Amino acid sequence: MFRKFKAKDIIFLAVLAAVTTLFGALAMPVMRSELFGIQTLVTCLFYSLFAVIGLRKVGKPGSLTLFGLLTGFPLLFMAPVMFFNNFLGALLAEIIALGIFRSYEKSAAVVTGASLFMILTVPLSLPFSIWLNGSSYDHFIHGQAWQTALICLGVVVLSVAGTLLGLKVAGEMQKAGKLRPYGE
Amino acid sequence: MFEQFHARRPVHPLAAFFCSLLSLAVGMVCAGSPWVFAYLTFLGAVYLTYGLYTALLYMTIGMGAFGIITGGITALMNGNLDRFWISPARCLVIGVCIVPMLAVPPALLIRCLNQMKLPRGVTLGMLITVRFLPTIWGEVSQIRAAMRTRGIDTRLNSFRWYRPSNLYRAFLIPLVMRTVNLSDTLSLSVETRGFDPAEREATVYHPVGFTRRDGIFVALTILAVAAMLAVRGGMGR
Repeated sequence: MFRKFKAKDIIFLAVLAAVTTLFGALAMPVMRSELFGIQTLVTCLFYSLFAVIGLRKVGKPGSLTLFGLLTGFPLLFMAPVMFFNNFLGALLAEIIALGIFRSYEKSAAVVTGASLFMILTVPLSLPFSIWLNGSSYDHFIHGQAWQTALICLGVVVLSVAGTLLGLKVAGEMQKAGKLRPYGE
Repeated sequence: MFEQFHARRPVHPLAAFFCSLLSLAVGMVCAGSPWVFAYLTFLGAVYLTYGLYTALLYMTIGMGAFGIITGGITALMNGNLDRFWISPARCLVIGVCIVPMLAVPPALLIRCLNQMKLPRGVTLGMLITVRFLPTIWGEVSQIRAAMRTRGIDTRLNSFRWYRPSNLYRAFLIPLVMRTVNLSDTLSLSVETRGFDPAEREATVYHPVGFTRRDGIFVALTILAVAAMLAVRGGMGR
């Protein structure tokens, strides 16, 4: 099941993480917004899109965790808390995806892992959001219930949309011979 | 990344990370207390003593202004100016507390992680991620220039730029293509130089040591944190 990472796997995931981080900057204007999950909503499409491309090309167990670690690393300098959020989200998504499918050979495994990556950062960011904004759980359940539900739904929809778009891009690239999985 | 913020003599990366995280956590918990401004002033003075001027100046002005704007909008919407200062306080806590991390050059952190025997593949990946941000931005600019020559208006206020077919075919595909090409070239270069991610033993050319200066920095941060918690505890009673 486990295969060793080669230098080219790590480099591809690192360059892809840099691209993802660049798109993650779109969340800058809403960084201080008190709307729960809005930052994830803005960026989830890109994170899941590039996660799929990474998983399609590298496809080794641990790829998603490594991708989460690398996308979180630049955030370590700006918002250290977000690093843990990203990393834990990727780790949990990978555990779930590999727990169900055992490998990333099937498209369903890639879709599950990449979609769950950003979706799981939402509940993970709840304690941080409460701590950063000084709110309580009650605030999200009663005070902002509609907004919270809508944003969570938006994150799920956009993550899945990003994943499907990623699959389409990866499919085209594989057809063109540019994204042949390593080892083949 | 953030080269303009790097200090001439930065604090030990792990000490900076620990202090940033600790001061941020306590600052956020205590952001509702007016004493948080005294806490931030003390931390700011410590950072100035350690030469972290540029990062402190930029972050204080930037995050302070941002906090005033967001707090002002919220206060105007609620029609209540009593708690207006909390938003700038929270923004300033974020801005000031991350200064030690911002002032650390990524290469120094990577060296430090290498000394801690972290897998070399991971540290290489981290270094590439931060180093490639400007390169990828350059690629994005080139792709936008190519879009313009093909008659697609790439100004942000142009609706043609956001049309899904334009975005997919003229932006996304070339971007992924360039990413793949870049990583292939880089992989070739790294493998030619004999890099093996499985190899744990590596010589660090400039080892990063924990000095007495770093110890004093950590001690001063812990002092500020303890004082802030004590004041908050006292006010709570």
